[in-house]
Amino acid sequence: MLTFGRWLSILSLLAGIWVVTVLVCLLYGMEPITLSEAAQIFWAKFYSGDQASIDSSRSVILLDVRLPRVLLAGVVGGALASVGVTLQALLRNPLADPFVIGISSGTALGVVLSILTGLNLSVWGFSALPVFGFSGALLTLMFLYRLARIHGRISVQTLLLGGVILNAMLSAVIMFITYMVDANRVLGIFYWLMGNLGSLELKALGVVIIYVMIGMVALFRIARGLNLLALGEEAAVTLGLDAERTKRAAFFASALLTGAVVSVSGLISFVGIMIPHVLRTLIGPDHRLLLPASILGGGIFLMSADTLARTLIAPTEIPVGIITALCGGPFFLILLRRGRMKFSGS
Amino acid sequence: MGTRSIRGTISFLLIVITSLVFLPLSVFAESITITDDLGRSVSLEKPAERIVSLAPGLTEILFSLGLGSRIVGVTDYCNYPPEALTKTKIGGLNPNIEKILILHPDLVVGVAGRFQQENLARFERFRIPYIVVDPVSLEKIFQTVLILGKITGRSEMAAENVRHLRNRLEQIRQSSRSESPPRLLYVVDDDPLISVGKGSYLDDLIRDAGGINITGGIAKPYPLVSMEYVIRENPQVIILATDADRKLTDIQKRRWDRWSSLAAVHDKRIYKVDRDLLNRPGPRILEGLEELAGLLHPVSTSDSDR
Repeated sequence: MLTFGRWLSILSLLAGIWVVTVLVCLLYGMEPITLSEAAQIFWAKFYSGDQASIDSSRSVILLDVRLPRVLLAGVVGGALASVGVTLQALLRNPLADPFVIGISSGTALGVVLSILTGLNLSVWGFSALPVFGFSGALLTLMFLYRLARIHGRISVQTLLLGGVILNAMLSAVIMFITYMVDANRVLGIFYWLMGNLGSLELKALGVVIIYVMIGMVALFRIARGLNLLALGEEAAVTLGLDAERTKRAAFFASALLTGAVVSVSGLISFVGIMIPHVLRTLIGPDHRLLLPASILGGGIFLMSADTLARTLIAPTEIPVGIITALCGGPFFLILLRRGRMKFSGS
Repeated sequence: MGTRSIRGTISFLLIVITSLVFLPLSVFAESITITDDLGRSVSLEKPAERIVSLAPGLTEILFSLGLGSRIVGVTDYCNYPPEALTKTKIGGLNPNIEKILILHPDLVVGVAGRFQQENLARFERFRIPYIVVDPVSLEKIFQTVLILGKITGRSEMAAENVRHLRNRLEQIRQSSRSESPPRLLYVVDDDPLISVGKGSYLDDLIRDAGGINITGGIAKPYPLVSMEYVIRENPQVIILATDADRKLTDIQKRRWDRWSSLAAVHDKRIYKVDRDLLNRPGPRILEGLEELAGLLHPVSTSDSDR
């Protein structure tokens, strides 16, 4: 039973860990920065304005390189994990995640196409990539939805299998495009597809956060509906839920979140599948708690993974998608083997 | 009776002996043997007449030797000289063997690397003479020119060209020698940031042009580089590799503005270069090198002009 006290204490604990992770990731790097130095830099930047006393390159590294990157990892990880939670409840299947059912690939295809066709416009100084990504994600989801809709009802199994197949097809299209383009650009697209969080400005991060916020608010509003849907659609309808509306909202929010984050980070696997499972095991399946907890947990995981990605073999970086798969995979397999992975609490 | 027949026999023997001595020699004189960069020895009966090139750089070398009319097939990427665009295309990285067979080449030239083993097996099976070169440094590019010159019967022209290239290289090296070589960041791709490390020959070129490649210590030819490292190394010059049209998107143009603490950004020393000039192991590489040296040492070159 979820009480407000339990809700608050678990989320405060996770929020605390989230903040500590941000701090550690900000200080840790090939150029270590001490806590007091960081405090000085922040103080000089945001309060006193006195830049003279601090080392300017360290200030740039902390504020312009690491800060947007760590925050972006927090946002992307949270978004991917929350989409994972939603899709798992919706499809009543533990394997669902934006990556597995092809939404990520749909987004990536949209982005790759927009980069190659030169439609990589900037609107009011912001990159329009999230819009292209969102379109790719939404088209993919709408196609899946239509595919799985038989006699007015969604066949969950068809949707999941269709998604896996669609993912394979979309990946093939991306591979084909990569193969066909000018050899000079292959490497860039290849690295981008493996996940990269390093090149966003604080300003552009703000835009991503706006998209993500809208998606998350939409998800919070249907958290209770997700609880009911996880029991099964018939049960949910019996209990008075407008199942179709909840599903539509969930799909739309999932597409928005995936489109916004994949378009700026590339393909990062395992966050959306692993974090919800771990947290479900730890704190139970109630989505009113699981959803915000996954947002925080996904952020913590991806911030840590990205810090490893940029420090392990510095000054070279490892694409972060490799780290998440290498860290997440074995962990996931152990959970699976121990049989501790519960899908629904019912 | 005796003398006549003896004389006849002797002259017959002489003819036989002469032909035995000189006939094989004349065959040897026409056949050409070279050793390619895989250590294989390849022989042709006569200079190659129908050549297929599997790399843009090799196409440029062949054209520079005046062999344009003997080229029968090129890759999709061969865009220089413009005449190369009129040649039959045989595909991209992985060439189409059927198209090559139809062209009846008497020589195929390719570079080491991807698809090298597949190509070897294929061309050996169809008994098409195949040369693999590995022009990974300026010196190796010169060697490649000489090899291609020899197999096409243009040895003298090749030697002359190489002499010119060497002189030009020496001039560039002389004029770009500097007490404090500028630190340079070479940007292959900017999102994510990819640069050139040890083992790429851009790294050598930067040294020849009198600069210090800040990512030269990374033991990977095309590494993903952390921005933190760039900030710390603080390059004085940033070179962006672009297509031949040298155009940047708005986003690319603005991308570096935010790093105003970098000396290169502050001094507005961010330049574009045509990546085909520098990435392509052909004779135009000296043009690229000259340009690079000019960008690194703007003052010293204008001094030498005076």
